Amino acid sequence: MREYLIKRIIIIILLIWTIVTVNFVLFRMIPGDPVRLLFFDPRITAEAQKKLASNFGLDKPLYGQYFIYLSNLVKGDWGKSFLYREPVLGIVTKRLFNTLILLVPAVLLAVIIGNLLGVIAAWKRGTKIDTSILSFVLICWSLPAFWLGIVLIIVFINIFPISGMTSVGSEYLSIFQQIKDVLYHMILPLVTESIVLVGEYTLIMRGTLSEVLTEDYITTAKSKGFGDFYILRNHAVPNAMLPMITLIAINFGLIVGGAIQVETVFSWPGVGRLMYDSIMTRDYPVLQGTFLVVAIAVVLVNFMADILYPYFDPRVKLK
Amino acid sequence: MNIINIRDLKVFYRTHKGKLRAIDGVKFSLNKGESVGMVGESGCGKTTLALSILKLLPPRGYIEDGNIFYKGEDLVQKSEREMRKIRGNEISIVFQGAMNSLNPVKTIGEQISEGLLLHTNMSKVEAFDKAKESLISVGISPDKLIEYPHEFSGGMKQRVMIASALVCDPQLLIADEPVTALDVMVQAQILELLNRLKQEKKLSLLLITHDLSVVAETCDKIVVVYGGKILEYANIEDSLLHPYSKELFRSFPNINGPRILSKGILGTPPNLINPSRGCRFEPRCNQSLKICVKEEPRLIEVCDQHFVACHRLKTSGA
Repeated sequence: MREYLIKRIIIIILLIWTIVTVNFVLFRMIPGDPVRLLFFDPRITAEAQKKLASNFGLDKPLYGQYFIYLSNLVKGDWGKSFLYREPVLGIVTKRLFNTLILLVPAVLLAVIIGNLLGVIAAWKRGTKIDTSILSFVLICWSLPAFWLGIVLIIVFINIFPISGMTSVGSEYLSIFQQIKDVLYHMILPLVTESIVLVGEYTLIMRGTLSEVLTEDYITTAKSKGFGDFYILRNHAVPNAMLPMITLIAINFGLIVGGAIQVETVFSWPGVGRLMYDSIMTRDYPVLQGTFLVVAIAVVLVNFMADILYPYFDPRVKLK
Repeated sequence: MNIINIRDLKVFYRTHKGKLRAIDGVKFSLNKGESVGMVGESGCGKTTLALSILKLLPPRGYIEDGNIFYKGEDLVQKSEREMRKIRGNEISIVFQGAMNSLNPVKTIGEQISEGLLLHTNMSKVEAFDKAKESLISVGISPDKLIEYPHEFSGGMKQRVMIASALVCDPQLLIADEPVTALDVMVQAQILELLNRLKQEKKLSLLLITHDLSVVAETCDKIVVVYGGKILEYANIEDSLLHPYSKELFRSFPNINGPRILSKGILGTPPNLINPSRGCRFEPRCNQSLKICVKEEPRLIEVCDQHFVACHRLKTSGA
């Protein structure tokens, strides 16, 4: 186990280093001179331009810039946003926090409801209940998030806030009041994202569970005298949960990337919205920072899933 | 005393081509402490009969008619809830292919003891102790209780299944092909185990197999089934009289005989959706009479406790 962990951590470090390098190269490949782009002002003298370039290390050859980039990353200096004139790391962390507030509950809700529906559908397979659940989730799954968001806005415009995280210009008497306001703003985007995600979980759960229910060990459990509910809870669902762990881990990576559509429709200040805005305004440092955060999050969550897997399935051993 | 008494049982499967008559009027009984071997080709209703006794038929299967008396009570009339009290507690079953009959993510101990927790008031610790005993009785070290099925060999898994089926001290054990697909050494071990348990626990045994040598080694009686019907029911010492039983017997190589491959029985088992009016075995029988096509033979007692369903025996007087 210890040996496995050490090996995996080394691989993760190498992986993140590769991501950083690709990230660096990708942005150097974008055409255009950053100095001219940044300080395009005829009043700036050539000498001043040169000085600015050396301030940013842009007068150094590419490998020199690469080492500056690496050492700054490690030091926590991820550059400054062109648009906000603030350190990138701060902006990304703040946005990541906002995204997690919205998406962790949304995904949890989708996982819980999706699994529940999936279990019911598999249990009542071939009945009207199964068909209804199946049709419902297929419709949910096919809905584009931006369209559903707009529909919900039209329907609930007078009931729930439709934009942002907090009411504009509000001052709060206490932290609880602020939390309440954020929760209130969260309702529509949360519902939208959950509806869009629920289909996938339902279909996967229904599929794996109906397969598990035909396994011989289910008949064995019946022959011991157990009822349907016990068998579902103790023999069928735990086994059907195994592919779910992988799916949740993969989706968690997507969560960190933010839900661009939902965050844009509801003006939620999360990572997805940040990425969208940065592309529109060519805010390269921020874009670079977001890419890095998302990539690292995906790597780490998958690592966690791998570590957890043996606890759910004793056949898997870490070597 | 009868422990199981099956009367005119009919079990059908719904298929898109019509009703499949998997068991069509089966009648036999099993005494307490007795062991019966049921033999026949694949697809002739052996497993269906086993599943009917426990009412564990797949969704498409149903009991059309007849009774299954267990200690005088008709299981066919019992509700699902009542059946659950009997399954695993009074009547246990060991399924074909133990490889998949154990849950891969639960320990052997959990799987053996869960039946005890359901049917008795034992605490978890007591149930685990009983599971340990049960595991020892099938010749597996009790430290293996905390291991998972994938850490066991096929023969060991089969023995675990037997331990788990017997842990609640049932009256009747149905063993569906308990030694099929196992190597000969393991087969011998398991049959010996069944024999021992039969004597120690006064267990009644219904052994389903297509291996006649297995029946000869473990059973008191033999039932030959074909096309959903019983063709012959005899004591193990009696020589079999039905043409099908004889052919079945002949399909087995004789250890002292010449080294030739058995021809087998030509033809295939009958279509059970639209069975013929006559004897089910008639199309493949080399001794068929005119009457065999038209009329179905009834099971008649040719000598003490030996029943055969064949027109030829009736006319020739056995």
